[in-house]
Amino acid sequence: MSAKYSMIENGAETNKIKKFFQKDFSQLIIFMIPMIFIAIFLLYPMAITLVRAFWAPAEYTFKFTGWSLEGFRTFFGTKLYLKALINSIIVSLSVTIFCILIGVPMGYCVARVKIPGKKLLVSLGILPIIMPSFVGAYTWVILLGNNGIVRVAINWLLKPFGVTIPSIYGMFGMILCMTLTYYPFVFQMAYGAFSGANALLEESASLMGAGRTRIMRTITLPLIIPSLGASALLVFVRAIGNFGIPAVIGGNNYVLPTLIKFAYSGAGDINLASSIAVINVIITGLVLYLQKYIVSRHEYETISATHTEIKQHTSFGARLFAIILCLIVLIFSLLPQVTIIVMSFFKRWTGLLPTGFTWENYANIFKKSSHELFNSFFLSITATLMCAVFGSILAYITERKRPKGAALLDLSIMAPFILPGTVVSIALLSAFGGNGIFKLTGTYAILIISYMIRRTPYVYRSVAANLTQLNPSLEEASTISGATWFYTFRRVSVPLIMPAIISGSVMTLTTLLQELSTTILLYGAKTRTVPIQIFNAVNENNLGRASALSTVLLIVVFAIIYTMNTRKGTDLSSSMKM
Amino acid sequence: MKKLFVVMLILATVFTAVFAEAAAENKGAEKMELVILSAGKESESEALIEAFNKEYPNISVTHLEKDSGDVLTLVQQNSSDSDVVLLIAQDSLIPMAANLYPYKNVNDAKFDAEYKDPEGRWYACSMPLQTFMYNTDLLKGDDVPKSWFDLADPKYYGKIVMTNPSSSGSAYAQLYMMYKLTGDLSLAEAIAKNGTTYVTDSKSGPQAVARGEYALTMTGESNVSSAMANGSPVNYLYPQEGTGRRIEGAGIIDGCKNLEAAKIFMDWFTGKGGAEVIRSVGRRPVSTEVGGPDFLPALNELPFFEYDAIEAGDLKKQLRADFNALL
Repeated sequence: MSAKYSMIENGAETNKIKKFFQKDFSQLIIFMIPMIFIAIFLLYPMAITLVRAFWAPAEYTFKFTGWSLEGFRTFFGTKLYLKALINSIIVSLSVTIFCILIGVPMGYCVARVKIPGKKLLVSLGILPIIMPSFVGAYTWVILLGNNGIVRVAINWLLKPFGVTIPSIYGMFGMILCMTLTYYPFVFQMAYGAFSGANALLEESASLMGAGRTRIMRTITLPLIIPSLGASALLVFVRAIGNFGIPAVIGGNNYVLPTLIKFAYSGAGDINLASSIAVINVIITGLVLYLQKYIVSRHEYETISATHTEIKQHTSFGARLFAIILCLIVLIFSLLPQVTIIVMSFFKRWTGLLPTGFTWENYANIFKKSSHELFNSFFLSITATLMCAVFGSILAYITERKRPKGAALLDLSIMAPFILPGTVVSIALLSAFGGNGIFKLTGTYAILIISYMIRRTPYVYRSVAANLTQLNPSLEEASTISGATWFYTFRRVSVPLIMPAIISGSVMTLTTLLQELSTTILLYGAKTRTVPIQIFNAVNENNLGRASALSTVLLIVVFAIIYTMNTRKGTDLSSSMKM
Repeated sequence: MKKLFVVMLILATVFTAVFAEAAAENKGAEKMELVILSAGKESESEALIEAFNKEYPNISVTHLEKDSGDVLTLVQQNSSDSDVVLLIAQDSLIPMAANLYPYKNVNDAKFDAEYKDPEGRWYACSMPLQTFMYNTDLLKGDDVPKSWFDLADPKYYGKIVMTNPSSSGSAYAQLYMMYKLTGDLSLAEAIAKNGTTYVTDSKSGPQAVARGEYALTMTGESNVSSAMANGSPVNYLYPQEGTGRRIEGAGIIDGCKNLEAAKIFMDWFTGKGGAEVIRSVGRRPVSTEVGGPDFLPALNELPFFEYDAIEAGDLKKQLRADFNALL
């Protein structure tokens, strides 16, 4: 090798290094931080869970117990477990179907029929999913149990006809309660889709002479199928992960979360719990695949330059129908909230009616819940702010910069969204409980982290959906004028996507204030939250205290949502898109 | 739009300030801290802390409640941040004894050998005796069952609610008692076949009976006395064959952060002060210095049969699996 040649080579090398340092790494770094965070707090726990699923049974220990298929053998070899699996599938699928049957017409009515108080309807129509399901289940017993006030009243009315309605216990009750709890997902998405769909398409079809049903069948419905698919999946995941409703009104019909409780709390066997969690994830995965398959055949790109006002039905019949439908659904699904508000002023509700009027339940909040209130607000607000920052930066990078591995990042962020809460909790517990490398149980950090892992998708999706509709020309103009990407992001993009950040954050904050399923496995003496206290109060039959605390949360949450809904441009449904 | 964030931030700051101040006021001059981990109810922890703080206002106590199975996992793993475990049933207490700190408290001499660990790792505080609890509006006079075997009587078809032994320690204790009565699971099977509902949470059975959703359940007697104190239309009946003599207790977690405060607490808890609170919340203290709980019969009036906590522990896995195969 000649000296000259090697000099050129060296020159090229220095150039490369120079170039390397001249490159802007800020994006890469900002991309890597969340990736590392996700790797530690999501992928690692999930991997541990997967590995544990193949360990021998553990008794009150987190240590390695040897490789074995015992967990799966127990599962598939026990009649009770198989029955629970079948119950879970039946309940979740039925709930999904019923939620679509209720949510889509209601969404259509609110979006396309001229009725008063739409913002109030939309705000009220999200409350059912925001109450801890455990509390909801108890109120259904008070309303529709053997001794429930609504059931007794209906049976009294039906008496002349010789008919009685059965009590709530069993499969039917579970499906009913979960449907009335989860239909808001479909309703909000359908409302968003119907009011956001491109009106020009329908108008042109109408001009060309298509009838209303034809337009509905060939244009309107196909356009909302992606939203529908996403909300159906959300409902399915929530339903299959719900522990509270089956525990209170399922009777002998056990479901998968029941089995996870048997394994973890009953037998102290986190490995068996992991095996069940893995089976749970496989089912969810299959449903996700099915959903993607259906939606992929119905994905349309619509080009909408301007947002035209959508034509609304104004006929008397349509308006009457819409109002009656919305009222019936809202009244039934908000009965638990009403029950709780009534109950909060009474000592007990053991018979048909509540007895012992009192203010004490509220007075006790100041005496006994100040620490818990502080924890709830501190944890939820901190996690929400972090989700807002994280979620919007991540969405911006993946959507605008499309770096290598964006798909992986996208999948990782969305994973907790489609994983049942019990599964995420078991994963976090098996990774950070016990004598693991990171022992974080009982700290504020673990709660904030788990909240972030589970809720960042809201802001992320909301912002990503907003960015795809946003013409990048403004951002390009800023970049061409010499601004760095971060400056552009801060000064140009953020103001434009603010409504999306807010709606995602509101969804995050309101659901976190009521979070129970993750908190209950990870809290400690210093990090007790209000939902934990509600759960304990319900458990010891102190429904008055539970109701007063729930009412306080309910009012805070409703105030936040209503304030947001009265603002322009914010739309809760965008934070649920997949 | 930014306003909402600003409002949120302000809210966060205000809450932090207000509650941090409130928390600061609670603490006395000479500060000690203590964390208790209880398998009992939240209101029971609150009652204990209130009484304890009257004598020791300088010790700031925080509490958390978990199922006894969860407590066992936490303690065996040294992964709890707590100092003292409370109200843990004997079948969970014995396996965790090695992880408890041996401390002979000032009341040691008052405890019979069966009510304490020989090295002082745990002391019994109360007895979680299991009894029938029935709704007095739904069952009257001769309709009230008298024997364990009555639960299989077709006249109670669909009226009984029990807890699945896989999810609760006390429900497992009931299953083990049925096993002791017949030497197999034939009684448990007959009851299961009698349209009995097995809920997954030991607290919801007694609540359902208090509400009149079901007529009858088997539960810890403290649930009956607290429901009666609350004015619910319920009553107890101890089955004529007897009920298992079980105990629950407390101990200091080995390697805990606040050992001195924990010792002070155990000295108080095992004495008359602790027993008074145990009695007042409806539990049956083992201490003879105070009486039994309100509404419930005295200890010497109750029929008992042998309850072998160690054998119960050994058979737990098998009996639970066999029982679940019956459902």
